[in-house]
Amino acid sequence: MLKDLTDEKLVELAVSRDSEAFGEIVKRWERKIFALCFGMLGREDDARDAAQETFIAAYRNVSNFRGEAKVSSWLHRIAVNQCLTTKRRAKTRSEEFLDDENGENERVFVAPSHRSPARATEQTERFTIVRQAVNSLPVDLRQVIVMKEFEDMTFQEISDTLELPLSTVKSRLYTALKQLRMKLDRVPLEIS
Amino acid sequence: MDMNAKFTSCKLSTEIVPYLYGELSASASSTFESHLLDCSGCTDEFAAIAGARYEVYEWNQLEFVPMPTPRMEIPYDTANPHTESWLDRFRSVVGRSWALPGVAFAGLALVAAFAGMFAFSSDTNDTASVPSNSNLRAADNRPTVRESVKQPVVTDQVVRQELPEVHQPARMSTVKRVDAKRGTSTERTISPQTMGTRTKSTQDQPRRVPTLNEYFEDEDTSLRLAELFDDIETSD
Repeated sequence: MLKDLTDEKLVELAVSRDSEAFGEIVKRWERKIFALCFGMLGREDDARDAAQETFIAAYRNVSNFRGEAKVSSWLHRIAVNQCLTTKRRAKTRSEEFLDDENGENERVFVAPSHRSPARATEQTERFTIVRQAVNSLPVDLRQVIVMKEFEDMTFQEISDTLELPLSTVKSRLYTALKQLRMKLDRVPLEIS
Repeated sequence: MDMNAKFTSCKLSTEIVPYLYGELSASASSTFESHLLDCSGCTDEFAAIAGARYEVYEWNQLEFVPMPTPRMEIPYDTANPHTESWLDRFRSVVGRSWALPGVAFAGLALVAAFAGMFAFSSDTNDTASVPSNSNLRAADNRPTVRESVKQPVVTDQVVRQELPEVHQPARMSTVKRVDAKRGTSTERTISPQTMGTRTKSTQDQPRRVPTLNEYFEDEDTSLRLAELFDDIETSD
């Protein structure tokens, strides 16, 4: 079963043009690569395009994977390159992507317009897991995440509100996200 | 994995979170992006942080953002704290019973009355309690005079039978002179007007009278020894 194979084994199979093996890699890593792209680009549509391009480039260059690093690291590097290429294209086309001082074009999230009932159920279950993971964080970490994500406050605003140094706010958010990552990794989250 | 994770050893790992939320400057972002190409550790770390962040972000966007803002209904009619009158507020402070404020008022009235009485009595006593310097001199001689009155006079002294007080209205004073050598005594009545006579030594100097408690010079009815000596007729 492909699901029982390691990433490195799947890559070996993919080198021999086993598309199903590479498909399993895509299935395991597409959400995380998409999240990475969204973190760099800030727009869902751009992030999806970049993630798509990442896996296409990875499949084309799978023979270049030598096993010196982890498959995830290899995919991350390809994704970063792809995102930076997207940014350069946007600059070249004079799109107001990075130069938008008002931030109107950044952080745009487009909710999926069509969701099957099965997918909606799956999403609801995932939200429950995320909510429990956030609630299980220590209070000082949880409040920083809530203020950043739900109240859309800047680091300086959070610093002023909580009367904490700016560096402490950033450190707490980093720690909170790291702990969230570890909690969520225990529960496999399927991509929507 | 360490639950209390801190930044990786890479010095630019501290830029992961600010970059993720778009709070790095353009130049700092460019520097960090270039660093990601060279540092796999930061790249993996960024991917992990970005993945966790996106889970929360999506949860917020799909579950919380579509929620309608609940309408806050405040019962303004019944919950207005400013409808009670000033009398109600006063009662709420001192209590429903009027006994306490009544007793307090009566106590204040008594204190005011006592204070007024004390102040009034202080006004009348103050004039007698601060005798003038000349009165003090006369008072010093008072025991001597009285002793001389009680006992046979040995020296030529002025004997006073009565020393008017400062606060007493002006009246005639009787002075009895005893001539020890001749053994005779004479009495003389001194009017208040003559009491204001100054001695030669003090004629050129303005006489100072105490001004406490409205004690004016015109009302000075005290008897001064210096003035009496001026009136003494000595004859051999």
